[in-house]
Amino acid sequence: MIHTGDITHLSKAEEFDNANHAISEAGLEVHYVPGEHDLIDEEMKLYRERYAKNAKGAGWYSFDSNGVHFIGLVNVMNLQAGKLGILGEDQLKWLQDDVAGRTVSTPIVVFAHIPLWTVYEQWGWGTEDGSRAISLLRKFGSVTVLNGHIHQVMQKIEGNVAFHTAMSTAFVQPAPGTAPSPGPLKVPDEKLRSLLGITDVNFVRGNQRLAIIDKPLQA
Amino acid sequence: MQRLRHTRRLRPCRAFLLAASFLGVTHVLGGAALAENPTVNIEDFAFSPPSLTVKIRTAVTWLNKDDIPHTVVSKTRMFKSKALDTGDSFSFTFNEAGTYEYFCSLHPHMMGTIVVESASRAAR
Repeated sequence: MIHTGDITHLSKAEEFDNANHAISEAGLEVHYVPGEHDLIDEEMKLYRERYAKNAKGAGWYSFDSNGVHFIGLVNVMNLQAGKLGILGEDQLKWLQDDVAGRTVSTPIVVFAHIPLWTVYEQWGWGTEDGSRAISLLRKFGSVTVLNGHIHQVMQKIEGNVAFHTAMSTAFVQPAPGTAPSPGPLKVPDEKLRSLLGITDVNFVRGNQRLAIIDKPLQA
Repeated sequence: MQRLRHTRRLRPCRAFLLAASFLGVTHVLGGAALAENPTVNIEDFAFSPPSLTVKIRTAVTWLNKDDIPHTVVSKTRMFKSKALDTGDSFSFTFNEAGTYEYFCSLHPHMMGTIVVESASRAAR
C-alpha cells in the first residue's frame, strides 16, 4: 500500500500510533511519504523516526516491486511564502541519479503528497519544480504519478505520463475555485462515504500488437 | 481554464479593495483606529485583515478559526508560531517600526503583513 501523506492532523505521537494501528489492519506492506501535517512537530522527529529511517534527505526513496520502480518524493518541506510545494535541488539530483541506469521499459510509479502538476495555483495545489521531476521521467514508457493533498480525484495524461490524484479517507475538500477556501467541505452524512475513498492501481500489460505481419516462407 | 483566468483577474482587484477600505478606516479615525489588542483572524485559509497597522511595542495576536492547523511564520523567521490548531492563538510583540511580511508555512499561499508605526507617527 502507498500512503501519500497526512497520516496525522498535528504530527502528534498518539496520532501516528492511531494511524499505524488502523493501517496495519490491512495487513499490507505500506510505503509512506509525508504530508505537511506530518512534519509540524519540532525538528520533524516523529515522522523521520517512524517512516524515514532508511530514506534520503527529508524522506525520499525508491524501491522495486514486481518489476515496477516506485519513487516516493517529498514536496512539503521548506515551503516558501507565496510558493507551491517544492522538491528542491538535492532531491531532483537524487531523482536523476536514481533513474539514470534504468531501461525505459521499466514501469515507473512516482508519488508525493502535493500534486506534482499544478492543479490550482491559487490554493497552492501544485509543485514549483514538479515539471522538472516529470521531465526526468518522460523517457520511460509508463509513468504513473500519484498524490494526495487535495482530497478529490483528478486525472490527466501527457504522453506516457498518467497523473492521478486520490480521494481522502478523512474529509472532503471543494473543487478548485468552487469555495472561498480549500477548507473541509460539509456534505450530507449519507453522501460522505461516497466522497471518501482509496485508489487502486493495477499493473496492466499493453495488449496492442504491432502493425507488422510476419509470413513464413512455408505454411 | 476560463474560471482560472477569471479568478486571477479578479484577485488583485479584491486585494486592492480590501487594502483600500482598511486604509480608509485608519485615515478617518487616525490613531484611534490602532486597536489596543490587535488580532488577526485566520479563517478560510486567509489572514484577516491581510494587512494590519499597529503602534510600536504592540502585541499582535493571531487566532486560528479554521478547522485546519495553520502557522504564522515571518518571511525572515523573526517570529514563528508552532502549528495552531482550531482555537489556538499566537502573539508577538513588535518592538521596532517596519513592515513585517509573514505566511503560513503549511499553506504558503496564505500571506499577511503587519505594519508597525513608530511612536511619533502613531501619535500624529
